[in-house]
Formats: sequence, C-alpha cells, structure tokens
Amino acid sequence: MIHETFRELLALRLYDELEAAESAALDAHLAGCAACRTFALELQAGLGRAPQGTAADDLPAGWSEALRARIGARPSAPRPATRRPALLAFASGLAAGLLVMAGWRARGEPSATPARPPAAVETAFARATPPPLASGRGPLAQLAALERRR
Amino acid sequence: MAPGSSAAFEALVAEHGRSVRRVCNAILRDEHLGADAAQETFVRLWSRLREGRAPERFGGWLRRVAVSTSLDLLRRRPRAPAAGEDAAPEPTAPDDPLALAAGRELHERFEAALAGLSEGQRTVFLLRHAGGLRLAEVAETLGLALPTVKTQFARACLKLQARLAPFDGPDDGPGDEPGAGRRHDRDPGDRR
Repeated sequence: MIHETFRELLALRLYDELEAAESAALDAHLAGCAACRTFALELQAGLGRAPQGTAADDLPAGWSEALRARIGARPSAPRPATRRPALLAFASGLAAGLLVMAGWRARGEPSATPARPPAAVETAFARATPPPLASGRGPLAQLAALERRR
Repeated sequence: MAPGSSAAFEALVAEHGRSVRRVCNAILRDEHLGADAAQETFVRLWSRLREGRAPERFGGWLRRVAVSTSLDLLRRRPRAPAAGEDAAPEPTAPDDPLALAAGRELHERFEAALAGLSEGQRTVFLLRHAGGLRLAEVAETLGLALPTVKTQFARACLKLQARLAPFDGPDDGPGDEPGAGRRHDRDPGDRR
C-alpha cells in the first residue's frame, strides 16, 4: 500500500502539484526504492503520451457574433402578446376574489384582518408584475459596483 | 441590448472567453461542442446579469458553469467521438501516414482509458491536464477539498499510465526511442 501512495505522489510531481513536505517524503522513499524509481520513468513515458486534446482555446471566427445574436434574440421585456393572458388571468382572479369576499360579508362573518386573495389571484399578479431588481439597481450598476470592489 | 450593459458584458467575454473555452474543450475534447458549451456558459451569465444577480467572482462562477454545461453536453452525447472525427489527434508528421495512424491509435487508447475512469476522476484529470487549471483551482471549481482532488487526480494518472504505456517488447525500456506519435522527453506537467 505504501508504494501505491508514493506512486500517487509521483503522478502529482509530474504535474508539479506536490507540496514541499510531500516532495521531501517522496525523495526520501525514492532514494531507497528502485522499483519506484523505475515506475517514475514508466509513469513519465506513459502519461507523456497522453494527447493534449484540442489545441485551440481561441474563440473561433463568428463565435462572438453568434453569442450576441443569441443574447439579442432573448426578449428584454415581457412581450405584449403574453401580457394580455396574464392580465386577463389577473382580472378574472381578482373578480373571483372580490366575489368570494362579498359572499363572506353577506354571511355576516366578521373579518378582523382583510381576507387573503385566493392563490390564483396572487399567481396571476406575480406573473403580470416583473420581479423587483435586487437593491433596485440594474445589472450594469451592479457590475460597476463589483468592479469598484475588485 | 442596452449599450452600457452590452459593453460591460463584452468586456467579461473578452477577459474570460478563452479560459472558459479551454475548460469546455478539455472536458468535451471536441472543438465544436466546446465552442457551443462556452457560448451557453456566457448566455447563462447574461441571463443572470439581467436578473440582477451578478456573481461575486466572475472567474470562478464561469468555470463552474462551464464545467456543468460541458458535463451536461457530454452526458447527452450517445458516445465519445471516434478518432478522426471532431477531436483530431496530434500527429508528429502530418504527411506521414504511419504517424497519422499511430496518432489515431493513441487517441483511441486515450479515449478508452478515459472511459475507464469515474466521471469525477475524468473531470479532475482533464481539467488539470488539458484545461489549464491548477489542482487548487479544480478543487474550487468543483467545490471539493484539495486533498480529495489530488487523490482523484493521482489515481486517474495511474490508471491512464497503465493504458497508455507503450506496447513495446519486454526488452524495451521507457528510455528507448518510441515509434511515431510519441512525445520525447516531454514532461506532461509542463502544460500551462
């Protein structure tokens, strides 16, 4: 088992990932272990054959334009066509809620606190109203704040 | 797209685009898929910025999203690409058919060896070996402890070494001149 541990350290050394204490322990072991010294050469030979993979990390031609197109294609605000169904749902939900409240009042039940609108009203209202921005600031202001903090 | 926010976003793309693509390429081992995954990563960043949820540290966040996006793409693929398809090998002599054949054979063995690793070991190894990240950065990106990442990486190396060792005769040692397609005197750690 101990050889396995040192062989793992050999792999880490190959990639310059050893800490000083680990490196010292490995050197001490190698000084007295021919098998591990041979393995070190085999490891280098074996892993040295590992393909690097795709060499290019530069952004290919047209990549940035394609990204802009994808981002530009996303709607920046709710489309008018989708607002109408949400508003209709809100209005109908509100009307339903008002009817329910009127029915309660007609029965004479006291309501110490205002009746909570039905869940459908809240859902429709949430859909119709865009969520508030964090701290009331837009993305650009938040980016600028982050840049200043950096 | 509002001009101000677009400029800030493009600055982020310019600063982090290459490193994001390197991470995606490392995991996917395919330039086209790597470009797609990199693009998807920045689209997610844009969506997050529009929601007013800018990440604390863009570099780390982008790496994490790049890794998860790439892994998602990888899982959705039916199988790894065969040699000669999108992920081309690196022949030492492009005009030499023997070198090309040897390069392809090595590439196939490498892919087969990678397939024998667990997803965690494979991801850690590729991010270090080809992704340009130090193991400390790999640990931060994956949300793992550094000792865990080091162990996973080392064990991946040992498994790969067994599969990639040259199939020479019993009298040939690691110091002998290999066939075409093998790198000489190259320390795999000299990659950054």
